[in-house]
Amino acid sequence: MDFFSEGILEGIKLIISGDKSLYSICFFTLYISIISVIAATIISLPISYLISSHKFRGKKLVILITNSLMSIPTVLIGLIGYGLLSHRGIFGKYNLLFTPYAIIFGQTLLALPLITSLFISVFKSSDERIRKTAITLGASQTRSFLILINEEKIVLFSTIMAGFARVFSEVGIAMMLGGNIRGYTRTITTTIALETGKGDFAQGVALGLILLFISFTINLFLNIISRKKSE
Amino acid sequence: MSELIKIENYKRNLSKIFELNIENFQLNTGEILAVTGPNGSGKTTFLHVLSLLEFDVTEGTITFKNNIVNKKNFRQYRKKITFVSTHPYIFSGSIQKNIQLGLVNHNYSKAEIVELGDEILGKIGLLHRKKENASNLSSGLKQRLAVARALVFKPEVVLLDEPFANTDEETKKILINLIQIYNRNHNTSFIFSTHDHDITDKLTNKIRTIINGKYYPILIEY
Repeated sequence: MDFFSEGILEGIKLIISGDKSLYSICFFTLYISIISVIAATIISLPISYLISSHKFRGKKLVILITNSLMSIPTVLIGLIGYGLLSHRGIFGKYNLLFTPYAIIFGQTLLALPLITSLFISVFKSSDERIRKTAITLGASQTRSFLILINEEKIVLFSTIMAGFARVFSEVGIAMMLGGNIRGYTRTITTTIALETGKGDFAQGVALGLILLFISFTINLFLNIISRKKSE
Repeated sequence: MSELIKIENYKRNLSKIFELNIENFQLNTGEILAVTGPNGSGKTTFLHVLSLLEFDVTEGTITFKNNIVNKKNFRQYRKKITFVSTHPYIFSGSIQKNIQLGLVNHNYSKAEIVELGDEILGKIGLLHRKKENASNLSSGLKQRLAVARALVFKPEVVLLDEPFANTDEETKKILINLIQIYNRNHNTSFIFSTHDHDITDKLTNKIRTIINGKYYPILIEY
């Protein structure tokens, strides 16, 4: 048996054995990814609605910048986050660096332009009769916005899931802002990097398989949603 | 009949060659007006101006109950006006949820929301189907639902853009009946665009015309 297949076999054994540290890393990764995406969604929703529904000078430039930031390297966000959260940074007094909060902060920054940009596209392409009908039925600006969210919930949700996939699989931010501290800030991706470096290929493969499985589940979910939408 | 909406010397460029021009328009409380004119003459735009969905007055004035409508106050007046387009948007969810939307927005009590919603659904023949998904309705039934949804919260002015287009005889009869009930019982004013003179005759003898963007307060054969 070669090195690679041996690693996969060991990895599967580790998953089946219910290894506590393996699963705690998975749950921690899921937890911070979900919190980051929720935070990014809450910030993005009103911003993207305002951008898409209002005419203002520099609108195209704002959209261009947001679109460009979609592919920002995670290590760059890690670097910016480090600058802000380290003792010499403006948020240094809160001692957030190398805590789960630091990873959440960085991953929220990572998801923000992606979710905002996709939300803008969703709102721009939505049926303009939704907002108009809501208003003619007496809805306030806020209520017509909530009605629009409800009407576009499936597309918006698939956008949120795309943001989740982005933060869930990133390594740069978790490494630079979390510090990869065992039992505290260690995520799936930072563990894969560490264990592979140490030569523990089985643990890396086990986590890689879990990462793949979760990514596959997300994609399957998105597929079902888009099929439901087209029906 | 008291004056409800008045437009004077309103002009708006819609394209380089097309201009909406309303020299003098008046709608009184409880009045039903029909607006006719060739396709593309500006009937829908005229109804849009009246709906106050957006405030886009650069030339002329619009008054609502003798108050000049401006950029600051147009939202408070548009709450009293509702507009149903030719192809109305039906919200996802049940028929009941759709009919109750305007009542919820206008802060009716929970009991009134259910009672008034069910009452009007009965009038349009959809009460027994109220739990069904509204998007599954046929286009004619969607039209019934859209008009009923616009009337149920008792707005002062109802604007209907070709409400009888693509509807069968039964739906036409139901819609005419509904308009007459709300006009008589709640003094609701109506403006509807149409090409159908038979239907117009059943609802009103006040017919206005729009030709090439120009509003005429009389019926002009085109």
